[in-house]
Amino acid sequence: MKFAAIIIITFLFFGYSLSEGAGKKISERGNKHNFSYQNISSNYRALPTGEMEGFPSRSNQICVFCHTPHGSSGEGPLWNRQASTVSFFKHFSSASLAIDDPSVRGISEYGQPNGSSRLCLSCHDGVTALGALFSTPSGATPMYFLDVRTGQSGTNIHLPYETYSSHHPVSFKYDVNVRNILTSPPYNRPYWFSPANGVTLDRYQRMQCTTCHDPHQDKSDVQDPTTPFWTGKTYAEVCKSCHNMASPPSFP
Amino acid sequence: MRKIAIFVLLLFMSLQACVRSPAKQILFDDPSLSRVWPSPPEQPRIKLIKVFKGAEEFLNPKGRIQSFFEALTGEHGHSFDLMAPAGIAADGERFIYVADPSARLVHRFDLRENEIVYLTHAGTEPLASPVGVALDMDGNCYVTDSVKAKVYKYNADAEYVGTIGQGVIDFKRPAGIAIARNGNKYVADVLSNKVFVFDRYDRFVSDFPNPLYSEGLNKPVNIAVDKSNNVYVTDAFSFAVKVFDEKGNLIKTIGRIGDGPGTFSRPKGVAVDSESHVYIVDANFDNFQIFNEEGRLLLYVGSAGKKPGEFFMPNGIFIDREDRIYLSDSYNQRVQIFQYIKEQAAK
Repeated sequence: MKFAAIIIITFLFFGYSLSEGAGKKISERGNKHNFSYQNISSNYRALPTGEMEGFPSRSNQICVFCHTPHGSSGEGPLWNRQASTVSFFKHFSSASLAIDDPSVRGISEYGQPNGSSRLCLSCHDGVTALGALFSTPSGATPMYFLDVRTGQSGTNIHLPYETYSSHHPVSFKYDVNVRNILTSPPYNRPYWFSPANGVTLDRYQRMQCTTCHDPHQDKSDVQDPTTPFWTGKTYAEVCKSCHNMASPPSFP
Repeated sequence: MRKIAIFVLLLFMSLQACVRSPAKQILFDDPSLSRVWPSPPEQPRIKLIKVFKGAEEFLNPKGRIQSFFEALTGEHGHSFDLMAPAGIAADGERFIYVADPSARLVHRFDLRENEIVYLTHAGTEPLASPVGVALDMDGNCYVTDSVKAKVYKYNADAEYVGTIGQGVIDFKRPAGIAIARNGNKYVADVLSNKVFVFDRYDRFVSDFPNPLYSEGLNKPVNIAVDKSNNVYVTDAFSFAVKVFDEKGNLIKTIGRIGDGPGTFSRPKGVAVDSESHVYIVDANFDNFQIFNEEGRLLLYVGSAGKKPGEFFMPNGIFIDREDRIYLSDSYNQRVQIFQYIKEQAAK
């Protein structure tokens, strides 16, 4: 009897990681971006007590950790009575949740991070959430001392500044025109423009973190820590939406 | 082989510093900057006095360290500028320390000697994610590493001395660190939901909050301590700064979640000036907000952008004894320095 209970409990816990098909929804236990105190299968979650002054129930409101609701202190700054008391954000004034500055519309050059990528990076800064997005392999020397090849491999494709070490850029417009430039001399690089299989650009046609990562749910067939919150069923399927390669792409 | 090259490089860099005459004194006050907050006709309270990106403009003539580096390694094109600065600390006279977790090092800018030293290792162990930095009265520097889960100590010559809390405290993700005038060190541990306190001799003293007697912390990320030894903790999942007395009792909470003045979306660095005003950075708002002791909003400074006085996902903040405010403007890859104009002086 005891043995059976152990088997069942073991299955309950490990069943999560072995399950195939899309990962847990943001509203479900087991989704690592569900920071509700009730998400007991994640060790990174809010505490049930003492948070959010005046709003104790918010530790169970899964949206507010990323999507800041309206609200201000209701009084202007005492040192500047003429200051505006309106929202610091623009994003809630628009139809969608994307944070945006209208002046960046239509620009394809790096202004990164903009749009929704800012939401990711405002937590993934090495403190609130680990900046593993941006880190070099464990034990590696500081970025300044990496050569180009090391700096571009593996997890380093996300390094934030291409001037230091190339990475997969975000927050730039990607459309047929940009593709045509990249596939023509002097670049002659193999690119598609076929966003599909869950790969989406934002409403200004910009590639963002969310192009390949769905922060609400991992859609991959088999959850893989190297492709967290993946938007497609497989690694290659997502990459090959833009990269015209026969085999899973590498980043030379 | 590469590691040896780096050690040799660092050795050369320190030797180099001894022979280089100060080519260009970096002054705090840059007359080309004219921004103040609030704008006229209001009484100015905050003045922008310095913007710098790091090595490129700091060292003059440009690139003497860099050419040494290139000569040693045969590689070109490396830059020593700030990459994505986080924690920051200064002694108000000579040194500014900037933790740069993406670059995996801490920059030490020596304003007097025009010299930069990089803290890249703790002994033989490379830093993985240095996020917080603090200085004590003797010029020792303490660095928190959020990945290695350790707090490293360097002496005033930037030599590694040891770790603190070793064998006593099981740090999980140390981040914010601050040092009080009495030498006590306060380390915010994000995953432990605790602040650990060490005395001036680095001996563990206590931790708080005690959930039995006080409201808990919910992912504390940054920390500051004022002249009365009150401790200010940025509590990420509370979207607020919680203020504790010397004994670790919660005495007040500043701010709450929201998108307007007096509230927070991604509160980051916290600092206190000589008149006990509290400065709190918000990475999503691209500003810092200043509160009085009662927690009422006094002013917000900055907006999104790349020009001087504008910010791009700012992070760490520090205030020195001269009420200079140092801000890590992370994604603009620079540090901006402001002067608080005292209330008496302003009148």
